[in-house]
Amino acid sequence: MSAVETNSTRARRIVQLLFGIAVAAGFMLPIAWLVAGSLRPGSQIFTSLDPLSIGSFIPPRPTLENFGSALGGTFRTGLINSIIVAACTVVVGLLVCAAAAFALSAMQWRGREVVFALIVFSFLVPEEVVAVPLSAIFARGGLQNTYVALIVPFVGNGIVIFLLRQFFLAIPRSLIEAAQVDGAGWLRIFFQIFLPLSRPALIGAGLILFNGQWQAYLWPLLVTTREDMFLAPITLGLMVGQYSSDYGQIFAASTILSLIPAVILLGFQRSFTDSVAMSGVKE
Amino acid sequence: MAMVTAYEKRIVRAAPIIRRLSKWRAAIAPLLFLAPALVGLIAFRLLPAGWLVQQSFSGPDGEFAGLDNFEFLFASPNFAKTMQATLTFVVVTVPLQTVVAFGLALLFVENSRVISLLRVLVFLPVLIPSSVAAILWGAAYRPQGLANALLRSVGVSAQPFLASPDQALMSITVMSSWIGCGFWMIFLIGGLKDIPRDLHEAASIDGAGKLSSLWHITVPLMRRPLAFVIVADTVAAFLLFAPIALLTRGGPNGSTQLIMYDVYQQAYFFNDLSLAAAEGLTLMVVMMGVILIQFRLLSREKQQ
Repeated sequence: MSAVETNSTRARRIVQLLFGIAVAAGFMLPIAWLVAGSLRPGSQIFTSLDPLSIGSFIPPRPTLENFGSALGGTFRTGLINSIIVAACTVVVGLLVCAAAAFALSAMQWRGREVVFALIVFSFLVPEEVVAVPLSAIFARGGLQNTYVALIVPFVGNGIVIFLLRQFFLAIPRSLIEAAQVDGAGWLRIFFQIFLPLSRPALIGAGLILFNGQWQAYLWPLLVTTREDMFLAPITLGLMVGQYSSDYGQIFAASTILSLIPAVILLGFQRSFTDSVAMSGVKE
Repeated sequence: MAMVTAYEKRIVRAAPIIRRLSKWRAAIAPLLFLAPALVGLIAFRLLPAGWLVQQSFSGPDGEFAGLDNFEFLFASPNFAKTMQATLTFVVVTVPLQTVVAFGLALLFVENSRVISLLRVLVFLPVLIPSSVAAILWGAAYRPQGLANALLRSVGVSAQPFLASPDQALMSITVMSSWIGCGFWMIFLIGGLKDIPRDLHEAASIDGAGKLSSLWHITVPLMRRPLAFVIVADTVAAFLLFAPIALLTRGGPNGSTQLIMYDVYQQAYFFNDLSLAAAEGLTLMVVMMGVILIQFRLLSREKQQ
């Protein structure tokens, strides 16, 4: 290759890289504004934008005051509720979905394909569309404002079952047979062979369950009416609705709500992208 | 000796029972493992879906009302406006996000350290809960907010964004694209990585330019991941709720009255569960119709 050509490819690469940096900066800008706003007095959040400068995104004298006041109000109750609901959903949901995936992959029985088809069919019914009739049933059954109402509907998740089944199918049958020869029952095979071997898949599945609950807005809005049962996104929404909106507190609460999943997801980043890549896009 | 014979006799007698029992146990074991998930999916997905259908053909007192709800719905100017806003939103948002996500995937497909970092930055908005994203963009769209500050810095006068019936829906599109594009990008990068490198090298030896090799090689080979992104994004666009509920409540002037928010309003402000159910069922049917058309179009291209 001639020197001229390598120079032009290098120039093109540099232009591409600069363009990429600009694009990424554009995507980051609102987040930078959010974090900066959470660290400065609420009164300065909008005034610091005029004129737009580096100081709009980096507060000169950062303070944690907003975090203190956000965590002192109703937002704290919402945050605690959100953590309880998400944690319970992940633990119970993983058990329930992994057990179902186990029955659909490790065990041989008649009707397996039909049940699997039923689970795939449940993908076709969006949670949002059934939320309204379902919440009416919950209200009639007196289940509003309970953890049960917030957690139980999300424990059986078709997509999580699907993902785990894909992973379980890759576990060799000879392992099951060897365990059976040694006298292990299905419960032991499930807990001592399948679950320990599936850590990456379980992490991915757990993240899907966690994120679903952490992001939930419609369902918690429909089944909670009492302030002590609200989840964090609802209390955050109420903070904006109040006419004395304190954007310092709102930005601090928003930062907390974003930071928790970001830390968890980035911590498990590899397992997450791996399991997303397994979701049937490639084949 | 005799005792053993008696014992053996007992075993012979019990054998069919034990066999039947172990057969029964073999059949029941999968069911026990499946039961919790199956009960959940049936109780919280399939039964409410059935209830939705039943409710949508019922009157206010639960009596069978035939197509009354649908007739009322389709004659209502409010529903026409809702449908128009929803379809406009889907038709603008899905192609926009697909194209932007594809561009991002091409830009950030390489695995160098810098590119990986930039990719993470573009992906970050995905990690932000949608309610937080809505509130953040609501603040950014305020008269003194970030969006106007950016416009001001390039000499454009202040825009009303969410306060204007002409701009509100587009502002929601920009907001949801900020969240969505990084997510769809990840799937498309996965697809791009599966394309063998030598295909492009062969094309460039044959004298094909970057653009023509993109159009004739990359795009056709990306059909599966692109189809996934288009369909999944369509579903997400039809079901958008939190930003509308938190920011515009359908306004100004009905310009952001998307269908999920309208269903919620029918049920909780107007207390008309039947009409809400009829509208929810219509949403499902329209959404499935659009997805079916997308599948048709995408698979027809394949046959060419």
